[in-house]
Amino acid sequence: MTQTHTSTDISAWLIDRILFYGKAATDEVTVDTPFTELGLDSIYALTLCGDIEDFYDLSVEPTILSEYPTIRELADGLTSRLADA
Amino acid sequence: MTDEPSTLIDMLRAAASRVGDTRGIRFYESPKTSEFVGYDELDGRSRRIATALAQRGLAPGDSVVLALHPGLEFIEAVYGALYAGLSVVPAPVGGIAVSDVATEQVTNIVRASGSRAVLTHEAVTDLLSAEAGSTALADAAGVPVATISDLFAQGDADSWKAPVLNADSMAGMLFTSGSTGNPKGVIMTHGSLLACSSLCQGLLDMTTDSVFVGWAPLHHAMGLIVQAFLPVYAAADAVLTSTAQFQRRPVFWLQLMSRHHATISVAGNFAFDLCTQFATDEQISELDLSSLTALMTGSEPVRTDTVRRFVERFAPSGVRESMIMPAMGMTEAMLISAKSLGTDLVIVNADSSLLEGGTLREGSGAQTTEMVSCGPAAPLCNIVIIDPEQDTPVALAENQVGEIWITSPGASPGYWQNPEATAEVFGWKVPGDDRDYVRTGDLGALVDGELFVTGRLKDLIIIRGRNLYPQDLEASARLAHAAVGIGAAFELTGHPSDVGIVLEIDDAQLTEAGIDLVSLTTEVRAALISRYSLPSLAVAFIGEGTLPRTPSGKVKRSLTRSKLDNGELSIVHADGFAPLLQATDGAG
Repeated sequence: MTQTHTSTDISAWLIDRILFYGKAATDEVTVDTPFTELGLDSIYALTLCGDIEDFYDLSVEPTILSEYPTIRELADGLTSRLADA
Repeated sequence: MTDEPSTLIDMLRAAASRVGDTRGIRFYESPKTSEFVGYDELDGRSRRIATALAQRGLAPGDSVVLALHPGLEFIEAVYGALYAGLSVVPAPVGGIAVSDVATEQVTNIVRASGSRAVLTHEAVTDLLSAEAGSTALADAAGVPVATISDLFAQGDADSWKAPVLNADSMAGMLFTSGSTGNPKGVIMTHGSLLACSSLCQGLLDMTTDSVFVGWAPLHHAMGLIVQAFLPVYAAADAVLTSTAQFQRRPVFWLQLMSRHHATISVAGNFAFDLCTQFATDEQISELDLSSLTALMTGSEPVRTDTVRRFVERFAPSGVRESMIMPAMGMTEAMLISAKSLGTDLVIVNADSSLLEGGTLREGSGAQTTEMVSCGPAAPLCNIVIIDPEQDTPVALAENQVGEIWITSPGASPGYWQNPEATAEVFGWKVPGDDRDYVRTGDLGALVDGELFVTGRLKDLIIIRGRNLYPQDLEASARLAHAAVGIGAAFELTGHPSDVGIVLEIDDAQLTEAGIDLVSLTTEVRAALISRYSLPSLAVAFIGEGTLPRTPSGKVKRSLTRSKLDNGELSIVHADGFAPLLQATDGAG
């Protein structure tokens, strides 16, 4: 993928995926809500990794959710990983 | 017709001789990368690994622990060890990214099995101590550690000599997870594994043109048998990936089945739900699942709503209800029952109060529980339902709920070095029958020869002679209020109430509803007491996601109960329990 992704783009995409999983209500999901409060158990954490891999072609582990505990931080983290890739 | 193999070595060599490399096992490490090993090639690699193992002083009768991630090397390690006459003891390191946990698992299993070595590979050793992975593992486990690549480099396929084995020779041990106390090693012999493969082949009508697709863990019975042994037995293709790959992208499972024209696959009920949830219409339009003859659903209770939603969602891809094959098994007995190939599901709307009294019969009133059959007994097996209340075995009639006992040529002879536990489960006799039966610890009933599983014997709540199933109480509690989530219900001893329930709470829903936990307790209690005619009920609330669970997300009831009594649960509110528990209520 050659298009550049801004942190805002990635945040929006992450919100979209998390809402799709159906474990959190729309108004509960903000860029600063910790992942631990968004109902993502170990299965969904892996599914999110799979989605990130498929969409951004970036290899990630579920530990990334503790390393970057909110959507905003994860989006920033993924942006810099993409820039390095 | 070729002779039946008497060992697993003969089984692979027969497949190699019959189909060469035109059939084999393909493993997908990622959606885009896979590697294939033909059965002739696998035979060659196994001979090579076996000679290297023998050079290191390992001899027939020794056991070796397999500490490998899922993949072709795992399977090569299995057959390589078997070709040396060794018994394989898989350790659950697959998917564990934390080094301490992996090392501990391996060490525990080495000790419990008395294994003389550990077979591993770089994927695992790289995760361990940064200095010297293998050394760290060897120091911890106390036995030599060998990597598959080293064994491969040192071995010589042409100098291999078949070890002297027979059907009773031990082929492996599977340690069932014991949350506390000593894990039990279920013994597998060459004979029991061959018998299991044979009856599965019969059930599934497998030929060399069958194609098996799966992602079940190779270190557990179901994954090991249907993915590493059964395809070889049938000299058919297997296309596999890891459980982690499935969890990352559930739809990939369906795509693999479509791409490789799968005829057989297997997964637990939760996997079907994940696929129904995650597959997009676009993905579905690209799937062709019409080649499937058996989509087995096993390893956890089968839910009719899950099956219906899945069949409906994937009907455009060619999925039909007759493909879905509910099955029931356990490590100690292997396959116990399965729906016959190509038949419709058998569903009973069981009368709820009759069920509480221990009878499973179709009801017409408002209170019914929909149940799906796990099919008749597997080929060559026999099921009897035994009254759990009696001291000597008494077989119950059809429609009567009791403990499920099974006799099977695929059953294990017992637990490794654990005569007491073995005597509790294995070698039981039924009057008028000289076969050995395994006590499954599961409750169920036979109806027209079809097995319906109702629950676990040890989880059953018995109040005033009535059998209450915890999953029913938990479901009712959930329906009582939107703020109530998953829970665990069980009998209590030493508490004011005989029944207790611990429920996870959705804080957001609680706030939105504007009620507090005291009011919620009243609501939940009222709902359950009236629905189940309980004399009283102890209720505790806990944070979302904090109840102990299995890898597939099911709550562990016994563990919850013992943690509760040990004060190890972070209860936010409790009412009706003994004083020790109530003391944590202050912060609630």
